[in-house]
Amino acid sequence: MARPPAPRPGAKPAPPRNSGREGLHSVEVQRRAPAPGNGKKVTLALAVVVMLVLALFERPICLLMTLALVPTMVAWLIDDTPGQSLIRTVAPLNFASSLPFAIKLWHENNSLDQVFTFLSTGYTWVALYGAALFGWMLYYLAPAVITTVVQRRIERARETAIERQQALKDEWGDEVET
Amino acid sequence: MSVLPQTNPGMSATSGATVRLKDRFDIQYDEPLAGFRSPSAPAFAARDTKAQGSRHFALICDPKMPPRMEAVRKLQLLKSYGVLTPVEVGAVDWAPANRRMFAMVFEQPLGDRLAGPGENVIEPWSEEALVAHIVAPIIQTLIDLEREGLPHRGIRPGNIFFRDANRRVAMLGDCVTAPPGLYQSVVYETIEGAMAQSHARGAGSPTQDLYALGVMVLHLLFGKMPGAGVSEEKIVEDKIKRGSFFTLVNEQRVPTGIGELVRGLLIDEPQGRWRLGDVQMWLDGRRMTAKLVPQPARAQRAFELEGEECMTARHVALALDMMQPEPAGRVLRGQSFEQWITRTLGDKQVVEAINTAFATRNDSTAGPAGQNAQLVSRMLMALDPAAPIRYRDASTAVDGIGALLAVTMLNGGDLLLPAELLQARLPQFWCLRQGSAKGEDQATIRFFDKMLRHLEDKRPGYGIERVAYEMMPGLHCLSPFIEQRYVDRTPDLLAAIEFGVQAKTIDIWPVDRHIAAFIAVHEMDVDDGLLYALVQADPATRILGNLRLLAFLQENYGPQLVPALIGLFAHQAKPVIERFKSRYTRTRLQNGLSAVLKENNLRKLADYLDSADEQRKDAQRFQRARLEFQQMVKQLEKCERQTEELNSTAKVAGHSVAVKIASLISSAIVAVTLFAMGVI
Repeated sequence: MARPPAPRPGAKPAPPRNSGREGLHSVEVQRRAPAPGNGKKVTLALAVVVMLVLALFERPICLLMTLALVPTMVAWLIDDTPGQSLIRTVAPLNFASSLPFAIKLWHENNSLDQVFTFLSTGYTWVALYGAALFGWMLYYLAPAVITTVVQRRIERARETAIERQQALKDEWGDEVET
Repeated sequence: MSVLPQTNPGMSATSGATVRLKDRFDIQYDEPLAGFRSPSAPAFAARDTKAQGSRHFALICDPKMPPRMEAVRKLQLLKSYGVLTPVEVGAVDWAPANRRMFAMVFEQPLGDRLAGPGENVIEPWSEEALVAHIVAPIIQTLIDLEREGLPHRGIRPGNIFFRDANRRVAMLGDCVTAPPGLYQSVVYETIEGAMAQSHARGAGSPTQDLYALGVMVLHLLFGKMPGAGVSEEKIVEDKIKRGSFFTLVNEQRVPTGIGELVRGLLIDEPQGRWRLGDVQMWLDGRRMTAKLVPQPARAQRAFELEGEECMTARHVALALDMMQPEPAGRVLRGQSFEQWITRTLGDKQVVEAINTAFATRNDSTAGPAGQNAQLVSRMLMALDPAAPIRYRDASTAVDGIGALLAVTMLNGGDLLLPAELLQARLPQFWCLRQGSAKGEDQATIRFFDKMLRHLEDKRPGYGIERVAYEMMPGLHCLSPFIEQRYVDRTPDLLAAIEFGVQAKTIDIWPVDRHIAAFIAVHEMDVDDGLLYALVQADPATRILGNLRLLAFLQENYGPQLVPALIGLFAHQAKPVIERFKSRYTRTRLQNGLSAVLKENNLRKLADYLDSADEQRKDAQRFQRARLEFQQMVKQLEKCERQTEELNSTAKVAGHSVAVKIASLISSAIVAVTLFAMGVI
């Protein structure tokens, strides 16, 4: 790489080359910072679009999905995490459990009667909401499990350090602390 | 605790009323020999175990008087029959005094003493017998002594023996059991010697022996001591005013022949006094011509001082010496004294010396009274350069300062006086005042400069104790712990200290300032660091200083077994071991100590307690331990931080995990559904 020419004596120092980019970068950072509720709005917009499309062309499936995805909607309502962790946990499971019914509806008798037939059996509700419930549980239990595991690990490290300190004091006296 | 048996090699107490010296002489302390005693040294019969039938006697020196060890060595080298020569010397356990004393064994002369000690009236001798039986043999002996540079300084009738039973050949008596000239009467001393304190007269020169010989000749001629019944002060004063010859002869008749000898020997100016060669020529029958001696300047008008009319500078000095320093100082600073010195006396050398005395800086540590005393002392030297150094109550020849200091120390006197005398650099001023450019004076000045440095150094091994041992090489160690053991050489020192520990006279520190100074003088190889360690506040350093110094002695001289000292150091080992920071190292050292103690070796004990390798390792490991401890502190801080942040981080992490698990499971459900329902 060519070295930049040496500045002439008395010449004004050149401005830093990336001084303009720093401003841009800070704007980008500001732009990229997750604005609370932005993700949710996008999700809502996408969901509304998809449901509208479905309502236009596949009303039975639209009805089924509307009823099946109630847990996801509730999650959408109460999720205030920056990364929408609750939605991202509940929604995939909720959606995956609804998918077999939607495919069956699509392949077999795509009618509102069939939809009500599905909804009239308890198994359907267990299948649809059981997965969602699992998602909810996963969301609330995972931090507790991790807290317990990490807490134990920290405790072990603390005990090891205290034991070693005591051993050092036993051998060298209090002077070792200085 | 049992008292140590005699451990010094060659010195052992034997059974009965005898004590053995150097495995050779049995000194019988129940058999005193009054005929051979010296004023401060009683005589006892001594038997040579290696030569039956020999006749010896032993003089037991007064421990309060330092013997002339330099003179002992010279006499033993000289082996003259004309003077009592110690055959063997050394310390012995002296049961009557319940201590160790210094003994000197001499061969018994066949003849008896010329006169009893202190016997001033004796049978007068004829001129011929005096010359043949006394003067001639003594002169021969003095020639031998001069060859060795050894003045006798004890010539008086009470200290003259005869080599033969017929009393035909005189020989000189003891000159080694006490400082030179100590027991000489003022009459037998030159003016300078008489002005000095008796124990501080110094060895002087052979001319002082010749002076004493001259007085003794008069004493034997008259049958009584010249000047008997006159006070010492009066004799000195008369000698100064009238001259020694006229003072001592005092209008008595002296035969012309021997009168010439006496007149020559009693010349007060040392330059004019007859020398050995002159006396020998006189003995050979030659007529001597009087030497031209420069007479001291005499003033035309007397200087009145305390009712005295002083015509010479020496007389003024004598009168000033009689006064208290304060009024003497006032006189010396007065106008009348200045006028008398400069105008009336007119001795340029004296004027110059007085100016030098005024210009010489006083010892700033002395108070106004001390500075005045120093000025008076220097002025006395300026007025009378040949006189001894006179400072306050002290009056000493320059080569008698060592004896002055030693005797003061031995008798528990005030050491401040000799210390002040040295600090004021009075000996150096005296040397400069002698006016000779001889190397001897320069060497003396350098010696006293060195002594001053020692004196001002407050560390053990230095100070006034060091000065005393340097100036009196024969002085035994005066440590209160071992003084009774009479240690006059380092090979005997450790055994004496061991004895002191056993007798419980030493309970904590075995090496005191006297022992340190004694070792420093006699052992050049001793490191100054060891001496410095003796005063460290840290007990471990101090113990190791003591231990290493004594280990040095044991290594070089023994004895091999010092159980009491080993026990003492075993009790003191704790602070030394405590220096190691590691508890395990300390425990290991403590456990291994008993095995080292059993070896009875101070060097091994010192190395064991003070191993440089062990200390380095200990220090390195301690540094590592400190670093590790700090790492543990950081580790604990990290744990605290992690605990504080745990709830928030675990929530984020848990949600993230939940999202991932949900994604995985749902992906699996979707895949299975699509596959099972034939979508793919």
